[in-house]
Amino acid sequence: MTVLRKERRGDKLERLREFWYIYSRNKLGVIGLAILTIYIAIAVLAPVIAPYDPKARIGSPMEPPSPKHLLGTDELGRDILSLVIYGARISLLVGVLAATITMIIGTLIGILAGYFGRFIDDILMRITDLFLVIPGLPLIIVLAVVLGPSIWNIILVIALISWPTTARLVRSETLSLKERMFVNASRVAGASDFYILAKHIIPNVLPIISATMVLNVVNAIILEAGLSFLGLGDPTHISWGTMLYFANRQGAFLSDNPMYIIAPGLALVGIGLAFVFISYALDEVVNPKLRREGI
Amino acid sequence: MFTINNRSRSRFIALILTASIILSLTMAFTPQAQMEKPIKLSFEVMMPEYDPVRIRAGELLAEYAKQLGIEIKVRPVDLNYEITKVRDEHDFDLYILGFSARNMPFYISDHIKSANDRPGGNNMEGIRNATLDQLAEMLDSTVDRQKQIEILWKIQEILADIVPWVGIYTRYLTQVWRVEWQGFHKEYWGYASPMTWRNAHIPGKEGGVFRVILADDLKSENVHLEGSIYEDMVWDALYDTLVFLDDSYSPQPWLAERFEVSSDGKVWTFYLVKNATFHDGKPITARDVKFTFDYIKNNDIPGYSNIARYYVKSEVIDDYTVRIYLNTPYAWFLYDLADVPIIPEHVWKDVAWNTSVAPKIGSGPFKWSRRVEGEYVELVKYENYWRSDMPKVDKLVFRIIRNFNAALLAMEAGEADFYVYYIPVGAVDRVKNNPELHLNLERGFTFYYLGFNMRKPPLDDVWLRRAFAYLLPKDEVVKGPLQGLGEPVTWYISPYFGDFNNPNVPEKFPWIASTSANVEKAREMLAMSDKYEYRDIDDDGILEAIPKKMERQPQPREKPKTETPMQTMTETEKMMVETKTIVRTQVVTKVETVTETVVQGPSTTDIALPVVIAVIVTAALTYIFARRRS
Amino acid sequence: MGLREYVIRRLIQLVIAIFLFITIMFFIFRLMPGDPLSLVIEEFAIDPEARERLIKLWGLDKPPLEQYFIYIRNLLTGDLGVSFVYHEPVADVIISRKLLNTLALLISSHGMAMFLGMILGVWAAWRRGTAIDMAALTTSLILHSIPIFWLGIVFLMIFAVKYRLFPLAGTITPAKTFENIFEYIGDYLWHMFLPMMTITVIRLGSDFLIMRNTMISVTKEDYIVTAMAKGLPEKVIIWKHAARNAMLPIVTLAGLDMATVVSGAVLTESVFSWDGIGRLIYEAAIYRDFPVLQGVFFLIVVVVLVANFLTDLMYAYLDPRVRYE
Repeated sequence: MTVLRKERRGDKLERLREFWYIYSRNKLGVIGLAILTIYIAIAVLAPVIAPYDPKARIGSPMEPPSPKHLLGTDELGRDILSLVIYGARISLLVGVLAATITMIIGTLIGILAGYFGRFIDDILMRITDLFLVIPGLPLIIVLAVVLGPSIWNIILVIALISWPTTARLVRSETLSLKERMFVNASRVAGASDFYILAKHIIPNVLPIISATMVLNVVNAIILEAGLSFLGLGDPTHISWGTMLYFANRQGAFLSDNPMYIIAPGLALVGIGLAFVFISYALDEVVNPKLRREGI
Repeated sequence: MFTINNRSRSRFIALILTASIILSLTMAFTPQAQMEKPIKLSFEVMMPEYDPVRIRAGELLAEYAKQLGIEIKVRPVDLNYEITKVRDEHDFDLYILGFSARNMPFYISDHIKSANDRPGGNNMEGIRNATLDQLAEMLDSTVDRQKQIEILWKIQEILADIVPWVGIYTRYLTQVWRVEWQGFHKEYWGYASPMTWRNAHIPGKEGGVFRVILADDLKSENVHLEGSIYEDMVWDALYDTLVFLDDSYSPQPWLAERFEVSSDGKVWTFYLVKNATFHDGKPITARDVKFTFDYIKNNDIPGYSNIARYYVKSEVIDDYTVRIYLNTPYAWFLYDLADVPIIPEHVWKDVAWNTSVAPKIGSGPFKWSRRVEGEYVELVKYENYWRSDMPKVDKLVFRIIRNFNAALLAMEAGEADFYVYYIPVGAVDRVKNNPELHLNLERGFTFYYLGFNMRKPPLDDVWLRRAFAYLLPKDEVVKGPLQGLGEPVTWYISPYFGDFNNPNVPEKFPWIASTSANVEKAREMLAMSDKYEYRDIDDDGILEAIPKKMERQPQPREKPKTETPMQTMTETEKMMVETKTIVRTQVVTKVETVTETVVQGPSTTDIALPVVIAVIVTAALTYIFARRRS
Repeated sequence: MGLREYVIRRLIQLVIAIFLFITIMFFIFRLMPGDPLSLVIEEFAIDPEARERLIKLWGLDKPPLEQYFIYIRNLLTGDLGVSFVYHEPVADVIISRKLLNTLALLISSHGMAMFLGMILGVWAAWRRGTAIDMAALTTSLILHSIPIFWLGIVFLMIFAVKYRLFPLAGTITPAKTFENIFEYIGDYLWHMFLPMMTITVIRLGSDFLIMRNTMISVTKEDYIVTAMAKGLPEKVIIWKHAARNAMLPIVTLAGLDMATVVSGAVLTESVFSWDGIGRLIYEAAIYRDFPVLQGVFFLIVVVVLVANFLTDLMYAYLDPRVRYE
């Protein structure tokens, strides 16, 4: 915390370097970053890496793995490896977008509630509590049915369900920041609320919630997969969740090609892992209490 | 009595005439005026999101449509949403559904009547065809099977001609049983039939337990409440019916050892078997049968709406003879009877029809034993069943496993004997290679089809719909997503229904017979349209439909062997003379002309002609009226 | 502000929250297209007249606002309505074997995860920085990123299909006559093992992390430092002093995390064909069984909100530092 608060005077590059210094000492964080880089590369370079066009039906249906199709083919005769590679795009998109929207809603509500307090806080927090207790997946099921299965609706719905945790966190951070010396000093100096929020509160809150933000990405990816698995996703897009859905519906785990189930699942675990590791490392950076030696 | 002078009278006539002419002209030309603008061939096809096969079918169709220059957006939606849009709001372009009732001979009339082209009605495509209306009405009041067949053949040909919907694939009922079991009989849902429950046995073995896997639990313990098809399977074992449907799908005597029908088709007499008893030992008498039907009628039970609609009253002739009166000759009465469980009067007389846990004193071969919610239903043999040779087993257990992978593994492990639902396509080889299991591939009657919104231009063009029929890669759907567990559909009534299927349809209507996507043929179809010119005017790779000027040119395109419908027509004609139920001889002569207009798709003349006729008739009537006055 | 005013204020807030919630839910459910009959249309031919009759019977022909008032009125008299699918009062549908199945599954798996998570968490926190801690930590992070349904399928593939150690579906062996209650329970537990393990494994990841992190904070507290300075044995310090204080967050969080718990239940029950509330919710949404949906959500929310309310009260009563804000 001390590190990050120096920013009023210290130059940004220095701060970043310091951050990286602490972060890079965290092995898990580095591994996570490496995995994420690989995934992003795969998603971006999918057309180059994928051996086949994922929509092209090039083999016979449900082929077991072979040198030609490393992970076999699906029920339409499409190459599973290529499908998994292209799936990275949707899963990353859903994860990052949903987490971003979550962050925006959560931060906004959390800061407003924390900074202005009183009845604004009361109302916003009651709403947050309400959303916090609503069981996520069932509500998503209902909303997915109401809005219809499209990738954008799913992103929106996931964000709509996940913001309360962020809002709570931001609020409590804002509450404690509000009482800090430098904020008080600004206020006494006649700074407007907006100035204080933009200049002091937000820049200091964001790093603290960064770990949660990254964790939201994992949750979003896994939620999308779960929704798709139940058949409530957007089956026209190739995502790992929809692949698992089709694999399960087509009885892949009784067929000659269990890779149809294993591969997308492992891909999901991998991307989840990358974000979880990063989140964990970030947590240690911003919460020095947790920092250990040698890791 | 007021007097009226000649001048005002002729004025009045003139007024009516002008008004009617203006009206008819506006009606005749408004649709055309609306259609002047070119319409982009971009459609949305909806299908239920839970079925991978239908989604894949949509994707394949989109692929080939693109080659032709038609844009198709595949839109998997929640089934409820799809049905709301299609049936209740008519707000759709194309849709894929599996609607079993569509091709059941006894329900098809519901789907083709113009009167049902209304929100909530079953005519979802918006078929408005006078011939079909007449045929549908005839069908419902014809009791004679031969005549039913003739009418149905005609209906199928008209449908194949105007293509309101086109079948894509039918899925085999993939029922699996352990090889040692025998005694399976076919009905609606393949071999999960009442006769199977009565006959299943292991040769050379007395008694035993027959374990059946159902994919869903009972929703309530009441035979009168709608549940799923699985629920019916349980009730089939618990209750007997007056008749049953045999393997060739025709009604046969059962609890009624024989029956007869009056010559007008409205009075049915049933002679019951004499030694049948309910599970509490009381005999099954004519009074119980009367009670059963009165109960259905009085409570208007939704599950038997046809019975409630046609049934008037019953008369108990003696203990074992009952006479049932209908308000009109009803073609499918016996078929409906095969679904009506005979319930004991002394048990049900004070029970509300919709109680969730109702008495289960049945009339069938098995007695209710116990049920663990969500797990299983156990029935035991009824020792005093009137057929002493049935049932063959001591116990019938319905086990509920919702996950079909798990169900199949239970079959492999010997934990169950009969699996009645679809097996996942990925697992077929596994079953085939298992010597302990028998995989029965049965052509079921459920089929999946592509429906068109004929109300929406340019889908009102029959040639465009035929083009779509050519674009459907039925064989690829069957080979890929279905893994060969089905067949392309080239009919309107499934061959599953035997004689009801018109075998001539494929050869007469090549677009229905087409099983692989044929972009060239589809293009030819578009070229033949006299309604629209299909051309890509804005060079975006997607065709536009440009309405053609509506000169009434006499049939510019080659007709698809219309001689053959003519042949059937004469048969229909004969039949209509014979059928005294509706006398509408003038219809017969008209039918041919109506079919003609139908072939070219609904056009402005369809509206204008009747209006003009109506106007002339009204005018004539007013004139006569006026003359009589003076 | 005194305790009494605080309680009254919180109580009013609670009632308003519940009321708001059921209102929102009611209208969200009504936004779903279709009616309870749409789903069976592929299986049966539904006569339009029969359909209209049923819709009327269910009261779905009335305008939504009127339906809402009827619903609220019934709710005030303790009537949750009648299920469209089960034709039974909603209370009977929910409070049934399904609820017990779900409770058994959730309590056992979450209990187990919490128990293991605590032991491992305490143990790892104490050996902070060692290779063992590192391994445990990494494992728990991996567990955190596995989709629960996928793990369920993999478990099924391995333990039920390949090695046939556990059953594939259901809660008991069908139509088996049990000699005594113990045999029944044994059978039930045997069926429950795989779904339970699935949830346990997934939960273990986060429970372990929470416990470990709390323990690390706790060990830096003064009283632990004091205890260590006093030269108390390590075991006593860990289990008597540190762990007990570190347990609070994990217990509190378990209660609050209802959302994740129910979501996990829906997916796990779906994979293992476990006949529980999770499946009931899913099916009710699919079948448009509004009364059951409203009933289940109502139940969950009331339980959670009331539990929160009581916890707050307890804190307020026990801890004088809590201001009655």
